[in-house]
Parts: sequence; structure tokens; C-alpha cells
Amino acid sequence: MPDLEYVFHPRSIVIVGVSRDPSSYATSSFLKPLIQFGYEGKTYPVNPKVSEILGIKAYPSILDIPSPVEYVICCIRAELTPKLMRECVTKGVKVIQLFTSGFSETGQEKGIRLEREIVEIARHGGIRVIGPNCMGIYCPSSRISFDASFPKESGSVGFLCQSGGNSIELVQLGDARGIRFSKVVSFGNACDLNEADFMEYFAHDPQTKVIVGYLEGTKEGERFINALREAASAKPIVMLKGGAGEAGIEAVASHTGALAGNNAVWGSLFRQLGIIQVYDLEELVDLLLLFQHSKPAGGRRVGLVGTGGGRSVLATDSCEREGLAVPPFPEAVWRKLREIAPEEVYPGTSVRNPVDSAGLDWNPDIFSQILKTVADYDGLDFILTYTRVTFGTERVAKVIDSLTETKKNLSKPVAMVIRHSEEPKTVGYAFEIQNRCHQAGIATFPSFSRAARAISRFIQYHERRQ
Amino acid sequence: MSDLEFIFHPSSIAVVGASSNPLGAVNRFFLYPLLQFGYEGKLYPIHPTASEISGLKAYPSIMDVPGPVDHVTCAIRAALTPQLMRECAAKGVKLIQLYTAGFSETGEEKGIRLEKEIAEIARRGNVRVLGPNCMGIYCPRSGLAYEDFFSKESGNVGLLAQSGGNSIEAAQFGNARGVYFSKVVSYGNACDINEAELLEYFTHDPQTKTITGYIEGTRDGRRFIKALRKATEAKPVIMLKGGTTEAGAKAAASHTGALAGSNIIWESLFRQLRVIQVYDLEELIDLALLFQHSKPVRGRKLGIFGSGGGASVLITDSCEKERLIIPPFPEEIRGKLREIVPQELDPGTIVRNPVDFSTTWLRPGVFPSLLETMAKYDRIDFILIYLALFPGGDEIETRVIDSIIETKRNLSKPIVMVLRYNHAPQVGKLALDLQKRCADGGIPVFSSFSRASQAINRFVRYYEGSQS
Repeated sequence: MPDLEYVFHPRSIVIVGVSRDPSSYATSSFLKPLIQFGYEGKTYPVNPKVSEILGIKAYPSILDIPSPVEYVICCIRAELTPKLMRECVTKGVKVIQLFTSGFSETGQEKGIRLEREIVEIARHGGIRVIGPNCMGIYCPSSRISFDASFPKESGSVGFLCQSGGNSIELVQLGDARGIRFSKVVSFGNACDLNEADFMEYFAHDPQTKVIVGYLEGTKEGERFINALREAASAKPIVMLKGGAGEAGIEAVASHTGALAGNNAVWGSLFRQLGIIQVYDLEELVDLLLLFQHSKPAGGRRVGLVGTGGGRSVLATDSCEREGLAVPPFPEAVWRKLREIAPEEVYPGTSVRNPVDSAGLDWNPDIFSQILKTVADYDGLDFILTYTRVTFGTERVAKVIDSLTETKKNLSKPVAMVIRHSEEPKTVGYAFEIQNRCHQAGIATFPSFSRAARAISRFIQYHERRQ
Repeated sequence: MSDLEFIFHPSSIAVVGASSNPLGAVNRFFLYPLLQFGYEGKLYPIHPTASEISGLKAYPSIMDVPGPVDHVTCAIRAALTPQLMRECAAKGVKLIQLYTAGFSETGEEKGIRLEKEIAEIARRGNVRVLGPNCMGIYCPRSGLAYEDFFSKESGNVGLLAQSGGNSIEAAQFGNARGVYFSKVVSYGNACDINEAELLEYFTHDPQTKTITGYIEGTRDGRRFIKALRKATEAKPVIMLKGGTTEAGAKAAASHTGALAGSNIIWESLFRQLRVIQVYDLEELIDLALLFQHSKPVRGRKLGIFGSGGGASVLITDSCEKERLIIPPFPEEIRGKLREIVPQELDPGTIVRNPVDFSTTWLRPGVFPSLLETMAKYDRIDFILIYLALFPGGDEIETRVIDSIIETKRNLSKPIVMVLRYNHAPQVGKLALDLQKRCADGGIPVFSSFSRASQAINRFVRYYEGSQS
């Protein structure tokens, strides 16, 4: 097994092709993030025309840099890369990441040949290559990033991604929902270091507890399957496979030059290995949230506690459609619930399963007692709560307090659906509630369909492992 | 056919059970929205002791109101409703809407009997009943609303909803995405005015072009099916049926006392009648948005344009999963696209279908030229644009999207946009603003590939069905 640890801890980084224009891609995507993240190694911009960029001394070529260079980010035109590769060999560079595109993904002879040529030079010179046509590495613990807006905080999700754009989107979508990453690798055309290398790495990386991947194709099928098998036996893996249909396979070919392969084969492989296959980035984040916050559930019986009669109906339908059970409470349980919330005092409440607590008038103590009673009932495996958020009412905040407080003493996983319209008036408030839930270990979702689907797949993962 | 037009135009409303506490829920739903919407009729809070509520003169009972009362909103306890019903009959009230719960939806003998009793008094007294256990009417044109955050703007989508909460969500979520309503009716237990009668009304309402519904069950199956058939002959009908699963049906029973019925029967009925069945409120809004803006389409061939290679793969997969077609462009079209974005501008651009503009989408003129080219290319039925908002890009993104809206004015080919962002408040404000502007400019906006492609497929299928 190759040890790629060093790839994530370079002591010096050179950015070739960076310009003084702060809005240029190379500057804003690679130099600025290093500055903003406070990267502690040496940073060297390379540009033959200028002596300084963003206050950092620039060099005409990497050969002019006085000290050793471990890691190179290449942003120059494709035709110029062979020469740069040779310079890297001379300089003793360990890793080069090519942001540059125009190689095998063009589908043209010229680009394919060029890609082969640089691989050849790298192999002879003992340099590992990430890309070309990729964003490289985001590793917050090393303060390396390819987007200045990414969170500086580390987490436990490792992400290998064949697409730079999708890697940025996933980190941003995840960031907004409290997901933090150990390492993200955007590896593009994978001419040298590929999905198999990174899968092997993540399988053994102690900082990575869950592995997620966006993959368009594989360069080394057998090795990748072995890597997947080994990784899947160690950690949960969630995979988004791009390029399913005819046009999708075409799109993949022109994006990273990958052979997408047969969708059915991929699907059955993932199933066999206990890998969760998802179909969009939203679903990927939904599952990550459950892995981050929820203990394994023992079964698929869900207790629903929320507000609103119509919402309760839709929540129930969504759960059952996804193969979750919403069993009615036995008499002892609903009688106990009725003692807590007598019908005469709280008309409009319903205490079967689902519990519609809209009529409680947001009484936090009663809500907490109800939640505890439902969670204590041993005929359930998972608790799903739900409410609509309009705007900053104190009362909702108190109920959320009682939810997060009650959750501390519950052994069952709890998730929540927060319904809101995303209007400026409500979005900030809903966001705050979401964050408080996440801090308390409660995964949150914007819709019943997405919550039910993710919970069902999360439970399925644990069922298959038993 | 009964004419329910009058329920949307009361010249006076009495709110029975208005609270002397200004923060009371009843006032929040049934007084303040009317004041905010500038309801022009007379408004009478009814309260046993208060002489004034929110600046309005209050009366101890509707019998004490000096002028006629058209419409009564009832928010007192269930046990007191028979007495109120008798007063309504005596006063010549035309419609009573009961917010009050505690009737047949409890599943208990007492509530069921009470509901029968008030229905009987109403029938004999010639008073029509909405509810009980419902929120009533939102009709922006008449200044009627039960949430003050509903949009004052009128639209062409009608909604009949058995659930008050779901009607609020649908209206609010819809408004946020640029869906505007002609009329929304939350009708609860439907002891008198029911889904069938409301559907008949919407079928003939000239202000309603698309009918949407959330129903849990039907009180009068035969009449409802007949009404559905007539409605679908006239307008697109989108239905969210609550209680389609076993446990869901039980939840529906304790919510509105409705018999949900077998889902297989509902599904096949909907299919037969060309009703578009959706499975959550998001999907309901997604489709309402498409029907609100788009003209009938001829086919399912898409031209896809945006930024991002990985995104172009995912959107293609989503579309193909929904059996939408993404035909390759002929050499001639690819040549024209290359003129708009020469490879030298950004080697990352890819001019197949989908077209990945990479970073060049931000250049002025790229989208306008593209849209004009595509409008003339007749082998594409739909233009689908996908863009991801990035932090700090507000100004330039707004400019590009405005240019798309501006170009769209002179184009008849439908354009749909997927605007990707992370839903955090910082980006969300811009996204919402852009989304609304697009919607007002006739461009429906979705936030995910899966939802956009699913909605487009169902929209196209609706018109395919109408051709056969």
C-alpha cells in the first residue's frame, strides 16, 4: 500500500502561472486560500513577469527558488507543462497538481499524447501527479485549500472527487449543514494518482471516519474494487457515480476523459460491498449528516413527533414510502401521552404515532415529556421530529432548547425536519435552529422526503452489516 | 353546479372568539392579516367583554352587530358552536368558517354528533359552512388572508387544501419561489363545502389557470370524481394525496376524519384522469411553477447550458433518469457556439450538449447570444440553464442573470434554470432575490438537478398525454 500521507503535508508549495490580478483563477483559487488559511509552509508564486504577488516574492521559474520545493500547483497552458515537469524533476519536487486542462478529456490525439508525455516524465523523475484538470487538495489541518471560503475547521469526512466543481459544491453544501472534512481531493483525469490510491489512503487515514466519493470512471478497475472492498469493511462509504445514461457517459468522456462504464455493474458492485450509492449531492450531504450525528439504529420503526396535522400525514407517508414503519403506539403509551397532554386542555393534539403536538401551544415542558415518553417506548428505533419555522418566535426557541436538552438523555437517534420558506426573514432563524440541533447531535433535513429517504438508507447500511 | 363565488367576496366579516390579548393566535390568523391586506369590507371582532380590539369596535355577539354580517370566522370552543350557528341563521350570515377543532376528526362519538348537529342547523338556516378544523380563505384580490406574510400579489394558481398547515406551507413556499395564487381554500373536515364543490368552483374560475390540491380523503366520491374529470378537461390539475400509506391513512383519519381510501385506487384514478399526482409540497410547488409560466411544450428534448464539468455530468444523469432527451448538437450549431465562446477564452469550455461554459458564463453577452441561437434551433424543446452561485459573486452574477431575463422577453422557447447554492443565509438572500426575479421574468428556478428534471418530465408528460 502506497503511503500518500506526505501528499497532504507539503512543507513548501509553488504556484506556477499565478498572476497579480487577484480575480484571476490561479490567484483566487490557490494563492489566496493559502494566505487566508495561514498555510505555515513556504509559498512561492512563479511568474516570469513580476517580482511580487499579494506581498509574496515571486520567481521567474521554479529553478530560481533558493530552497527545496515539495509541492507544485500548475496553472499554465497545457503545451508548457512538459517543460515544467522536467524542471520539477530537476528540482526534486515530490508532487505536482495540475489545474491545467486540455489533456485526455478533450478526446483529441494531441491532448491524450500530452498527458502520456507528462506521466512519462513524472514516472522517470519520481514525481507523483494529481490531475490534470483538477483542483487538488483541501486539507484544513494542513491549512491547504483551493477555495478561500471553505471552513478552516477539520472534520471526519474524507472526500475523493473526480470533479473540481462538484468538490467545491459538496464542501459548501456540507459547510452550510455543519459537515466538516478531514481531506478533500479533486483528482480530475487521474493520470497518475487515481481513485484507487486515494481510496486506499482514506481506508487507513485515522482522521477519516466516513468516505465519500464522486466518481466518473476508473482507470484501474481491479485495484479500485479491491480498495473499495477493503475501505468498505473499515468505514461507511457513500458514492455518487456520474455518467449513468447515454448522454451522461458522453458528458463524462468530455469532462475527465473517463470511461463511465456500465451503470448496472457499478450499482451491483456498490450493493455487494455495502456501499451506499446516492444520486445527487444533496442526498450525499443528507447521509453524511446521519453518519455524523446518529448512532446506528436497531431497526426501522420510527416515532414521529411534530407539529401540524397535515404535516404529520405527509411525514408518515414519506416514511412508509421509503420502507420505514410508523407503528401505532400500544394503549399504555398513548394513555401515558394523554396524561401528559389531556385532550380537554390541548384540543387538536393527537397522540397516536405520529404525535401531533401543534395544540400544545409550544409548551416546552410538555413537549419534552412527550418526546421522552415516545423515545422510551421500546417498540421504536428512531425518532423523527418536525416543525415549521416562520420567524424568530421565542416559543419555538424554547421548544428547541427542550428538544436538545431532552436528546442528551436519549439512547435512540433523533432527527428533525425544519420546514421553512428560505425567505430572508426566516432563513437566518431556521439556520440557527439547524445549527443548534447539529451541535446537539440531531441531524436536520429540509423536507420529509429527503429525511425519510436518508434515514431509510442509513438504517439499511447498518442492517446489511449485521 | 353551485356557485361559490360569494365566499370570496364578503362585504362584512365577524371574528367570533377574537382575543383581547393582542398576541392571541386567533387575532394573528383572522384579524391582523385582514387589516394588513387592506380588506375593504366591515370587520367585527366578537368578544363577550371587550369593547375594542386592535382599534376595531368589538361586540358581545353577532346579534349585536348593527349591520348585516356576510361571513363569520368561528374560533370558539366546539361545545359553543351550535348556539353560534343558530345566531348565524337568525342573522342571515352567508358563510361560517370554523377554525374550531374537536369534531369528527377526534374519531369520538361526541365530536361526530356535534359536527352533524351544526351541519344540520346550517343547512336549515341556509348558512354555508367551511370546515370545521380549517384556516379558511386566502384571496389576495379580496384582501382576505390568514397569514400576514402571504403575498399580496394575485396569481393564477388555485389551491384547495384539506390541511390548514399544509395550505400555509404551500402558499408561503410558493410565494418565495414566485408562485402566486388566485385563491387558496383550507377546508378541513368538509362537513358542508367539500373538495368536490371547490374543485367545481376552480374549474370555472377564470382567474385560476392551474388547480392544485392537498386532499386526505373525499366525502362524496362520485361527485368528486366527476368534478375531477371536468376540471382536468379544462385545466392542469396537480394533486398531493395525503394518507397514501397505511400509517399515513391513520394519521389522516385523526387529522381531518377523512377516509383516505386505497392508494392504488387513487393512483389509477389520477392516472386515468390525467391528474398529476405529486408526493410532497416541494414537488407540488415545482410543478405549479412550471405550469404558471410555461406554455405547452412539444417534446422532451433539452439543450443544457451552464458552468462546471461535474455539474454537467450530474444534470445529464438526472435528466436521463427522467427520460428527458439531450441530443448531441450538429456541427453547425457547435460551430456557432464556438463563435460565442472560442476555446482560447477558456480551454475548459466544452461545446457539446450539455455545454460547459466553464468560467466564460460570466462574460457579458455569452448567455444572450446563446439563447438567441438556441431559440432558432428547432430541435430543442427546452432550454435548461445550470449555474452555481459563489461567495462574493453577487454583482456579476446578478448582471448575467438579468441579461438572461432580458433576452427571455423576446423568446418563446421555455427556459428553466437550476440555481445551485448552499442554502446558508449569506448566499440565500441573493439566491432568493435572483430566483424571484427569474420567476417574474417567466423563468422557473429550481435548486437541484433531481427536482428540476423530475418536474420537467412530469410537465412534458402532461402535454404528451394531451396529444394522444
